Amino acid sequence: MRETATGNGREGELTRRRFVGTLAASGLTVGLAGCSGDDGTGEEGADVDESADITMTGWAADDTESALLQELIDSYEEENEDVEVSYSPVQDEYEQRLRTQLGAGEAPDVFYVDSSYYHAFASTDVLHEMDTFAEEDGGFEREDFYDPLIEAFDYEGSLYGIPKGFTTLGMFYNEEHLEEAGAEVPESWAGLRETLEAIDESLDVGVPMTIIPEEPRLFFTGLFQNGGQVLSDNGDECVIASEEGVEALEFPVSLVEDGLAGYVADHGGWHGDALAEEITSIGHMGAWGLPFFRDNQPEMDEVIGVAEMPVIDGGDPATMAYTVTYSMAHDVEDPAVAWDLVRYLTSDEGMAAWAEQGLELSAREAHADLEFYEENPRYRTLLDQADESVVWGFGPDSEAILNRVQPQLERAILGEASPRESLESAQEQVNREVLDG
Amino acid sequence: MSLQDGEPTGQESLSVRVQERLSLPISLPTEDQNNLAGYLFVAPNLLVFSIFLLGPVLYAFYVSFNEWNILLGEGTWIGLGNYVSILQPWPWENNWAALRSPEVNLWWYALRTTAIYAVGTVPLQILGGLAVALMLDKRVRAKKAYRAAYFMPVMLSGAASAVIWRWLLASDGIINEFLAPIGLAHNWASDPSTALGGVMVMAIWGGIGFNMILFLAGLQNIPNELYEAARIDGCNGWQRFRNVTYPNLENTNFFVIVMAIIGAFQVFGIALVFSEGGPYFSTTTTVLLIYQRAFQEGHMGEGAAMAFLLFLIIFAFSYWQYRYRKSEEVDY
Repeated sequence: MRETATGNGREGELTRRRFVGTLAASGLTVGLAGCSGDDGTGEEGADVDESADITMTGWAADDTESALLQELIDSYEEENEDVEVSYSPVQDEYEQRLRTQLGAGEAPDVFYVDSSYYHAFASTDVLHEMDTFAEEDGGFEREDFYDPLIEAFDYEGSLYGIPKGFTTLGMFYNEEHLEEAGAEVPESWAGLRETLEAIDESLDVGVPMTIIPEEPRLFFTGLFQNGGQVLSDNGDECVIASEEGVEALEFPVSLVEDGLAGYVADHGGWHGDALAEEITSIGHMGAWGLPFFRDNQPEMDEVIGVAEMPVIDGGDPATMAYTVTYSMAHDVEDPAVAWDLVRYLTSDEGMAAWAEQGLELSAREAHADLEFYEENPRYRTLLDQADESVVWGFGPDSEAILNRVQPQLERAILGEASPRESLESAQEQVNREVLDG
Repeated sequence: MSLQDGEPTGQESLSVRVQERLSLPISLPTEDQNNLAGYLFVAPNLLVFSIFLLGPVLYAFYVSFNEWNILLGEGTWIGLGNYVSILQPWPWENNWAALRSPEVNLWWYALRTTAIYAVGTVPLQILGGLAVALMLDKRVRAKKAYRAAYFMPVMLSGAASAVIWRWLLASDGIINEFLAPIGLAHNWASDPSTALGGVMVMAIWGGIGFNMILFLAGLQNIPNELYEAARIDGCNGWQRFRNVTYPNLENTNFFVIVMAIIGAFQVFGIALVFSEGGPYFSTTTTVLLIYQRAFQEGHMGEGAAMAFLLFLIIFAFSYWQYRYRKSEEVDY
């Protein structure tokens, strides 16, 4: 399974990337299921007159997923007999490979772009602008999608990708553990500390909560709940070491110091295993966690609950969102045909069927009424946070910024430096080396 | 064989005589023709080498003088700009701050990390390899099984062994199970002060097998007569090693040392898989830094410049080692 593959390493980046891959692949799947049966998508489809070959790539965690995507593509080809789509998924180093391909002018026509490097791509003109098509095509409206997602993919007024789906970050917890400890599902950070203390006193778990030292999710959600930011509004200055930031980092650091939180790498490898093996009672994940329990841990699936991210004291609700686009290469040979494929993959029916696979949430706001979300309240919880979510990614230099911020967060979590010192170092380094240079 | 001075060789005089006797115009290949044949023989290799190695190297050298965006495949000429921004601030500024803190200048800090790694791994890889080779060169029961066992890590990919070691060194891993009773259990990979040590242990484990094979080949090339002569002269074991084995392993030694130093400065895969350069930059080696700058952040020019700086360092070590060996060379 895709999720277990992350078990040996650090969970942070890996899991998220894999998750995204998963989404992609499974989304497609769904798409198929939804589209092939009826003529729903067909009526929306722009007629593609000329015959064309489209190349497409994305990442796929395993063969099942790429097979599902292939099925969706097959159904698209059935409807558009003149179009041939060749899909070749990439297993490893997707981003590095795509960068090289784009630089060499050898990129596929349609591909996934993760929100963390979307702006790096959009700002260098390697992606094809999509609004023109969207306007011409009655089937697509910006308003159909959740605002934070569209805002995240708006680069200087234009869209260079259509969200494939997304997930917010939620608090996964073991209902039985909380009950045994007589603790409530926390809604605030003060409540979270009380719950963790209660678990620590009454239960024999490895550690009450697991975190990733280089990507403490509580820190990022706390930062945004507190009104703080990683970059200033115009994006030309790093402001992570604000009072809001320091406060948000002090909390996870203190939890680790008090033994209430531990590194996930040392407790199960990733949050899913840590919860499944009852090594821990609480972990922070996105929608990718749910199919893991459903498919691999059916008994545990019964006792795993999902709550909204607890809110820093005095702050407003906020959480992270992880998302990926379907984008087109700037020099795509048949823009209209490539667009038609993207439209098909993100259409109302396609995305609904996809979302029902449960690997990812639908990016279309109207889908909040889907029966699937009525029947699966845990997904509903994640979905309810959509409007207050902040998409993961920090402008065109996102990766360079994270390469400097993450080691400093880790440094604070490991107790090697105070939260303030770490954040100031990160801020100073990002401003000097990345944003000024 | 030189024909310019001294007597003509036997073959030459023979052909001359045959020519004279038969008065036939026999033409031997001229020097140019000989050279042409030689060039033709090396041409395939030269071609492949130029296209796939020399060409890209020269291109990368050009890229290193540009601010190069890999996404666009084009750059702006900035002369030595990349080199200056990589090297400055100099390590000795601010009382060697760059070597103490990764925030000041990550290039120097990564170089320091790599140097520590090299100093910690190279001697042990070589001495370990030599020791194992000496033991397995004797008549030992199941010698071949031992050799295979020691060579096994070499056949394992770096990424696979890094994953294995990550498990072994995990806080609830098997190594800690043994260390816990004596109070030494430790979270090796998550502590900035021990993570590099973990990578080094892994490298030594892998390096010993590789060097063992090279030393074994060297040992088997030493003629037995030398040992017999030494025995007759009354040498003890140590003297035989010091005066027969060691001098005869000189070529092997040179090769092993150069390869080990190059390998140490190029360490990448195991550091990436074991700890992704962390925690807190503690396993960010030079090549890992190049990877981050060039491929993650997309600054190809900076990455290429770093790669050439690393090349200079490796070249300097290899050349120095070569000169040193020349000066030590003894003719018997």
